[in-house]
Amino acid sequence: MSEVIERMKKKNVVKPIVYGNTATPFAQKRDADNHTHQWTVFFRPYLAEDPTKWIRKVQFKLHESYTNPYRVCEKPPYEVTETGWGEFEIQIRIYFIDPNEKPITAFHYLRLFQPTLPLPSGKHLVCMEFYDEVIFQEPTVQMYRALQQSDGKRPDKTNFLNDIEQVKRRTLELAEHAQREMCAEIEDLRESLKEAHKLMVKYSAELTEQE
Amino acid sequence: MNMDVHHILQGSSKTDKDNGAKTINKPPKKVYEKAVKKPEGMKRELFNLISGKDITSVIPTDVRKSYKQKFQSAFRSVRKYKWMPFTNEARKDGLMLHHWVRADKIDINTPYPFSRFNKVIDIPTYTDEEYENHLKSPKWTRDETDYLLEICRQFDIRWPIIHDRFDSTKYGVSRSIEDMKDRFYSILQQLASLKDPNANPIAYDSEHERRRKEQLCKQWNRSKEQLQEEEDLTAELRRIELRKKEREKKAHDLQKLINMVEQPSSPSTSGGNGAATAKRKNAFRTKTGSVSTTTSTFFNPLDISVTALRFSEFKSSGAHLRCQEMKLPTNIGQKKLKNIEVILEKCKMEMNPVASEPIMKTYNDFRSQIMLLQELKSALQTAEYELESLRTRVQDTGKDFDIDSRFRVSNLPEGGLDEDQVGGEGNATTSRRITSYIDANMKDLTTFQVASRKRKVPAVVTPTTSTDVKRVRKI
Repeated sequence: MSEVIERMKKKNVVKPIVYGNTATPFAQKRDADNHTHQWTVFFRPYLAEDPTKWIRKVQFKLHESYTNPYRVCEKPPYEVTETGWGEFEIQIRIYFIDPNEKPITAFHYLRLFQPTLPLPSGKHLVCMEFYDEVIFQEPTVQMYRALQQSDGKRPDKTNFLNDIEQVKRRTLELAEHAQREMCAEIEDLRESLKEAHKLMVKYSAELTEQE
Repeated sequence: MNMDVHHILQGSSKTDKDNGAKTINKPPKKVYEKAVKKPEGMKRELFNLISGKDITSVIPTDVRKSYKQKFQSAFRSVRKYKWMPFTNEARKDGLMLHHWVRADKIDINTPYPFSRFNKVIDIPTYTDEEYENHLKSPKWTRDETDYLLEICRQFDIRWPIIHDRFDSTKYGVSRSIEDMKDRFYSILQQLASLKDPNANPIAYDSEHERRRKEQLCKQWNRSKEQLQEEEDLTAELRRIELRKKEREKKAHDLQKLINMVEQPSSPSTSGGNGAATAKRKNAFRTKTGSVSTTTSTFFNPLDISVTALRFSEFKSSGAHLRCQEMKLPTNIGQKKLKNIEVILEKCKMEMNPVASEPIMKTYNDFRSQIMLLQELKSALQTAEYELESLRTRVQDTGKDFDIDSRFRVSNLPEGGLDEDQVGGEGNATTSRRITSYIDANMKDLTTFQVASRKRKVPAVVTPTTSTDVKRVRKI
């Protein structure tokens, strides 16, 4: 029997998160299983907060060729370290504290070669960090309370190798710049179309007059 | 007794035989009695009479309650009744009549039970002063008014009877029911409003009543031919409406079919005027399909409006990821997808950017704009071809005109125009860099065929409906 789940009407809660992976190549190919890299896939809250307040567990689904492809993390850090030789898509399933709030799935394509980041030590590390946001639309009352409790205020910068704020800024700037160019061209084409239409009407009228 | 009846029924010849063979006849009789049981409630004598014969016709069908039982259940000692005089309170003459009353129920003080059914309608009276001040009428004299009210009282305002009994010779004026009602109710109204100004008004519209009755008379007196005509006309009207509905349904179905065929070519159109835009676009393409033919009307450039992509909206409650709001619709065409990919790449934008809210909004808008730009480019290309064909025809007449470079998009160099080609008379106002990356070649022929088929729809529908209107008007 389904009971009525009370939800917070007209409330939206947004939780910034980051997921991705790091990878380091072996010095040489391991002969036993042909593995070439060690990698770590992770899922973290973007803000400095205690994620256990609102996350029950995180489940990573690896490629089926791995023994036991479902890896479950009940406590932070939510991450899986493995070795392998190929890239594939990892399903990250996030279960919330309130089981009435359906789990959501993020997809991350495991990167072993790109993009690389220079480390202070001079070495390079393959690192992909993807910023995303979980949006709770009208969360259940229990969920809403849990989310309020773990309200992180500022980004946890030490957790990430990229300056995510800068990535966001740059992405938006590029998009806005392109959009401005686009708007100008749309206006240009619109005007030209109008003029072309006028011309067509004019000359076809002349033609019909002569006939 | 048994034998006597046998005598009567079977005649004397048999009796002799019976008497003679009495001993022989007896045994079979007993067998019969055992075989057929006496039905319940039947007298033994009667059963004996018919035993051994076909008794189906005399078996009582309803044996549940015989007369005797019924009688016995109601059997009581007889009640005493008395012949009593009584007066009816509803009568004023005090007439004394008699009736039977049960002896145990005699009570002289109880009134006659039926007198309460004598309802007396209260008809108001007026004083001389009231009449002089308020009730005077040029059509009615005081005497006649008094007479009317008296008759109303006498016959309890049963108007047909009042009308019948009203002695019109008495005052030399013949009055219709409406006249009498009008007078009566206006007096009632006047008196009521005198007593209480806020009283509910009594409304009687004699003119309306007269017209109503006249109408009813006319309807009653219709001839057979008139009735037949009326029936024919309503049947005809019904037929016309049915035909009209059918035609509308057919047109609607056709429209639906066309829209369905169209859908794959523009899957992601949305927004308030999504459908309308799709229609207009197709009307426009029809013309582009026949560039060389002489078309006196051209597309309207203002008609090309935003064709937005439909991104998934998350309206229901629950959790989702921001990046899901940016997913391109899956049914988007290959060409559109390719255009988006190319332009994002040329603008150095990520195909799957990090998903903050402003980025999501900008990206979604931008990709919708790519769709619009594709539409515009394809429209301008068509315009270019059409201008070209117009020009050759103008040249045939010995004249010529130039086509501005801003109208030329078909040969746009990839990467956009050089700086010296931008701005100035007849030139494009932008380098059209993004436009140059768009592949806006016209759709394959099938789209045109669908579009041209669609054009026939209004041509079929409009004239027929107009004749329909005329026909109805004739009726």
